[in-house]
Amino acid sequence: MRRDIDEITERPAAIPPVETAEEPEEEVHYHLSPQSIWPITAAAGIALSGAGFVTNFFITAGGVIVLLYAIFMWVQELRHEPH
Amino acid sequence: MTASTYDEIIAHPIPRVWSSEGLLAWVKTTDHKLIGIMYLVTSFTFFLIGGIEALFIRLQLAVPQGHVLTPQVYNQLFTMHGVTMIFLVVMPILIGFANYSVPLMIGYRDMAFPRLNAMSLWLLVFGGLLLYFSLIQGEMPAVGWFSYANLFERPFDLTNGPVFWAVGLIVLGIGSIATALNLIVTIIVYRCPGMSLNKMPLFVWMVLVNMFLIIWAMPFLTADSILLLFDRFVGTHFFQPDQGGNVVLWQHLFWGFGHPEVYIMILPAFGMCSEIIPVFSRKPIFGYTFVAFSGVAIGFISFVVWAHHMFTVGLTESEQAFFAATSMVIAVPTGVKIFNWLGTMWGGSIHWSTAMKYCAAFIVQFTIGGISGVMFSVVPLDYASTDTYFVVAHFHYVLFGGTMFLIMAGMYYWFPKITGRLLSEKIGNIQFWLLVVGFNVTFFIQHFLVAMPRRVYTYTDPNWALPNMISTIGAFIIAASIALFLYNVFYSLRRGEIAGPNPWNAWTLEWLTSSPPPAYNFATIPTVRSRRPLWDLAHPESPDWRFERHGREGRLPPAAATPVGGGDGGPAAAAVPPAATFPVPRISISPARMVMLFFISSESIFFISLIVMYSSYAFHFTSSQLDIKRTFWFSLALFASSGTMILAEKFLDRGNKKGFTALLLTTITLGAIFLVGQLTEYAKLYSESVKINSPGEFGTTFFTLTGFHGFHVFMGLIALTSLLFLAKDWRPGHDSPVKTVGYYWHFVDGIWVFIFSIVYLRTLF
Repeated sequence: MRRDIDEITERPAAIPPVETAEEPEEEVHYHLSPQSIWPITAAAGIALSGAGFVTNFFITAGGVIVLLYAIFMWVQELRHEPH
Repeated sequence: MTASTYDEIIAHPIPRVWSSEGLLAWVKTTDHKLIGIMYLVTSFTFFLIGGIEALFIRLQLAVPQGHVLTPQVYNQLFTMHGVTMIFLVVMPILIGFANYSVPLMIGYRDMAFPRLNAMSLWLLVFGGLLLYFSLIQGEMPAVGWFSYANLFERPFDLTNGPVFWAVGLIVLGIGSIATALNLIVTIIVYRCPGMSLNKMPLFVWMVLVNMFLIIWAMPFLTADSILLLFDRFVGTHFFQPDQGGNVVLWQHLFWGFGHPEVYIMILPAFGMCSEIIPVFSRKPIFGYTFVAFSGVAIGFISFVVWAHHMFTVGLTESEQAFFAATSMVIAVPTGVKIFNWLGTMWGGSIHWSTAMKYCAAFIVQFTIGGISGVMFSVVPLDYASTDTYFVVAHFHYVLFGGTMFLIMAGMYYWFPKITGRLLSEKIGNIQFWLLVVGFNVTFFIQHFLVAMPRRVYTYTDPNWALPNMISTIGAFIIAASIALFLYNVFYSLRRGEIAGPNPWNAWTLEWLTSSPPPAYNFATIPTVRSRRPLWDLAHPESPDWRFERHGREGRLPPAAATPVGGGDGGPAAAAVPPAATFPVPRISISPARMVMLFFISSESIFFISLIVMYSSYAFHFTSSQLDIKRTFWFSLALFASSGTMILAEKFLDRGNKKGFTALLLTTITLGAIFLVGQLTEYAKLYSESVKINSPGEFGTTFFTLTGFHGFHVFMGLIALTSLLFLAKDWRPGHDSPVKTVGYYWHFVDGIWVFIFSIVYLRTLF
């Protein structure tokens, strides 16, 4: 397809600027996933589980406990999140 | 994209819904953009570390019999350089770009699973720290990036270095698979209305293919690493030849991951190139369909070329012929892309921005690396040049001259979107030329070191001195270029020109919103009608959708009243329905269930690795101490549990909570019966002195394969029990977790059919 050469262009763009981040006149809320500490906690649990192989297996056990707790709390967050 | 939608985006912005203050906000964030930025920063930090390691390597090799490093430290540095660049730089930096750009490019607000996305990022951070913790312990791995089994095993290396390698890669692998599943579901489910697969930006296409490669290739590496760890910690001997193990089997499994990995490290970069070149050539991509499908073809073929890394191991002639042929074939779809990019530039009005220069340099350098790669498919030539600096030159032309150059192009291209400011083109130009010179000085000369073996600590041949010195000088020019890039970043963050929403006059959706975008990306989810929605918006008199294919192939468009000539087929403009009637991509199953299906496909590869391993040793098993009849009965309990799970779901559908709970409990009981049966079988075998570390491979392979299956059953039981405890949450229409866990349960049942047939029924014949 040949569409083009005449379309070359200097800046500023041919498209009008779009500013979507302006403060709104009226509050409209759209649900986005909230911040959460449990993903980093779960990741730390997995990494600690692995670290035990090169240090002490008690660290692996600790990592597993951290991971299970993080998953439990993660599920709790999901249960109380609006769908 | 319709004008009305566009107006809505301007007119009705939505307020930020997240607070974003302080370090904790970054730690806790689930915003794909912040996570993408953290991926980029983390990967670039590791790039600096890996680069410093490379400088030390080059200093050591600058002159014959150098003494900058000790042999052991040299081995550790080239190992960590390779591991860092592959697993902590190239893979995650491409994932970082995907994280940031894909939701914007498909017109959505975030990833499908934002928390999972955050966890993937932190697994990268912690996995990287774990690998480098070996430095603090003074036990950095010294086994090469592929850690061949004979170097890993305890008789050859008593330090914890190889363990750091294996554990670090398992942690990183979990993160990679999680993010890949997330991106696949995001792309499949959350494309904006009108964005059918043939209108997806090519970067998104390549990311999609890449993520499938990750979920299907990484399990080979995970299985390998686990088996190596078993050899070290449990006393198995998968890869110890003196006890019946096979080190070549390890190589097969490793390269089953390793060659798709090569394409994992380049396909998204191809996607970047396919976005950047059209914008700066002021033309649509030439041969969109070919670019997309050649990526898919590369993905498939990449799984059948692995043994070309093993020609010198000693393959049969037919194996050599097969893998030589597939290695040549895979060059075809790759070459197609080169012509697509050249065809796009041909006749275009090229704007030589820094990003475009990087793309042009990529085409030249990647072609050189590609051609030297095809040379290795010629088996005698591979024999002659394997493990020499010719190979080092080849893969650096692909991964540095190719991928890293495109990553640089991506940095210059998307930096304005990410930060709101343009990188300085003036500094960028100097930095680009420094990198081109530095890169080619470093690596081109290495093609002539075809007699010098790689991974050697030092050398004595005076003929190798000059090329090595030139290569070292080149490495420091690269370092200067990277330092200048960092300066450009910090300078431009403060003083860079304000970018505005669309500084390049580009056409994909990420340029529709502000720079940087608000947390919610788009106030109104856009609707697209062509591959270049922003072109349509700016040129309502000649929108692309009039000229793109919407139906039968090869139909030419009618003469249009617009000044644009040509087209590659499509119906009359009047036949194109208005935007409002364009379909939203609808998928009949929930994202959670979809992610489980893809996870199951990934897990299947893991089990295939174990089954292949078992089968390759099983030929030597002459007698069996397995009690088939007994195992059959407790297997029947497991198979029956799938039926009760299906019935439980049906009862839930009808709103019969009591029936659901009873059947779920039955499923758990049947699963537990299977596990108890398996444990008693283990106890019986142990009493007969058949153990996991017994001489011969039966105990090693049997307990590993069936044990991993048992572990999966155990995890399934935990998930089912969780469903039971949360039973009050489930009701018709809100049962996605139940069905998701159900899929997993059917999988562990289904995989047992194969294991039972191969391990038990095979002994009957």
